[in-house]
Amino acid sequence: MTWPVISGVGRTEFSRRSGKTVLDLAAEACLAAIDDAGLSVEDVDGVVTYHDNDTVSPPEVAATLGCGVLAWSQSLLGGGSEMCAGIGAAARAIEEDRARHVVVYRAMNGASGIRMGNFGTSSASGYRQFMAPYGYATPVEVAAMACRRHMARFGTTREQLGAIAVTQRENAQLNPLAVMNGRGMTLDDYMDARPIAEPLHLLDCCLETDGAVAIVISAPGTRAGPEIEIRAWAYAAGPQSLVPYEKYPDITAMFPQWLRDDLFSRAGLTVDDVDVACLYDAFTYAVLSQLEDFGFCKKGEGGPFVASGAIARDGVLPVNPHGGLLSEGYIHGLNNLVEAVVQLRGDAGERQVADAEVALVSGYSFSRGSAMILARV
Amino acid sequence: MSVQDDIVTRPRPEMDPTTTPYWESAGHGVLTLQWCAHCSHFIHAPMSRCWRCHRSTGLEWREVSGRGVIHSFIVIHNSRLPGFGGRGPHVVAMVEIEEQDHVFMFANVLGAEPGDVAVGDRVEVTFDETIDGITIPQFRIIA
Repeated sequence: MTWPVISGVGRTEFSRRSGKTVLDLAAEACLAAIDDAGLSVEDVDGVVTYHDNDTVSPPEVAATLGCGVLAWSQSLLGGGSEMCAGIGAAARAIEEDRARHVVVYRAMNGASGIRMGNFGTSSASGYRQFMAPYGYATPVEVAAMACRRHMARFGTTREQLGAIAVTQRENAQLNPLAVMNGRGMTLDDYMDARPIAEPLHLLDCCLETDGAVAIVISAPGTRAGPEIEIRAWAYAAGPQSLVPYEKYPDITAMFPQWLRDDLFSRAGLTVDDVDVACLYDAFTYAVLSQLEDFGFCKKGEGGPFVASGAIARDGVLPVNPHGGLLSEGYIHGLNNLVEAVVQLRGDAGERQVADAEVALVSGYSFSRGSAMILARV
Repeated sequence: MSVQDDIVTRPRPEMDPTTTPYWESAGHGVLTLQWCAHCSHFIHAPMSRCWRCHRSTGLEWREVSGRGVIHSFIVIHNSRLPGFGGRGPHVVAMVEIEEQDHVFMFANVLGAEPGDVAVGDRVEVTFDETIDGITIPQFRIIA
């Protein structure tokens, strides 16, 4: 059996102020990915994105690139949860010969333009009438509510969350493209950061970034060198997956618990086969909870697991060796997927994880999410 | 600006046909929650249909004690929402109501320093705060 592959990856510079339009950023990243795949724009017949009403649409990008007839296009509204599902659906379109080469991009001026977490959160209608009047609105606040419960129930500490932030910042020092390259962080720095929504503080939160990332999905045989197969993907939303999750079964349990069995059985693999994990890290706590809910450690033991050094580049499960959304940049998770491809190709230079053959990638929106297993063949 | 002046600038609940009884009851100083008579279960936040039996025919409103336990809470600093930025940190708590397990409400905890709030604290509803004429149920810690 052969699976569709990620044939190309591309990106712009990541910054706080790009000085470019989102459309220009999107086109630059797409062209870089198409070039990396050894293709030309004429070969591309699919254009896909996911977004939070903060970007440019596939028709705009396709027009700017100068694409011909498109056979596949989707624009998925939602959080990082949609990432692996959108890529997976595009991969399926290739398997079924509906399209030959699909570009998936994510482009945003997330620092200088539309900031994540501002859109719609001051509304006091619908379910938000029970949130905004109380000053409860943003994704970090909702994550913090789950984190506090986790701390109370399992004894998780800020120092343990800090191990995630510090490890990923150390990783970014080996990644010249990371926004935080050259800006180290100690656990003291982490502990002293200003509070945002306690128990979460500034350095528990991802960056806000201007930039774009794109990938190309193709049939095998497109690009010279190792093939990076999309071995499996899955999407899941737990019951009552609606902010602020008052009816959701357990606020300490994130989306992986609803999809992990399907994901690994589709791949014919187990968590023990994962060599590197690029987990959606909007917040440190999102990493900790995913590690538990994917089954890398038992529920409640995420704190000791991360504090043990397990997630370091030379640990039992290297997590986000590029620095992740916390320290490389926040392009809504797609930059984490690019890192998985770079690692599996063996092109990660100083930060290369030894013998990386299987990678787990995830996209998170609390109880909803999607994930993908990539493998080098 | 007094605290009360500040409150009126906060986002005002936009009542709809599903939620109006909840807010109107709060305006009379009574906490009533939605109840499905088919399932014998409270539902909050209110819904147009019971999510268990998918029917609207059993939905009623029942007065509750207003007491509960803090399941989780956060302390928000420098909120970007209008009416919150200038008043220092505020606590938002997720409260499990006394009458039924796993039925939760969110509200602020008034009258306590953020450092004095803890998971497991018992709380009771108050109706001291209004936003532009709508009373919003809040909680205070009780012994």
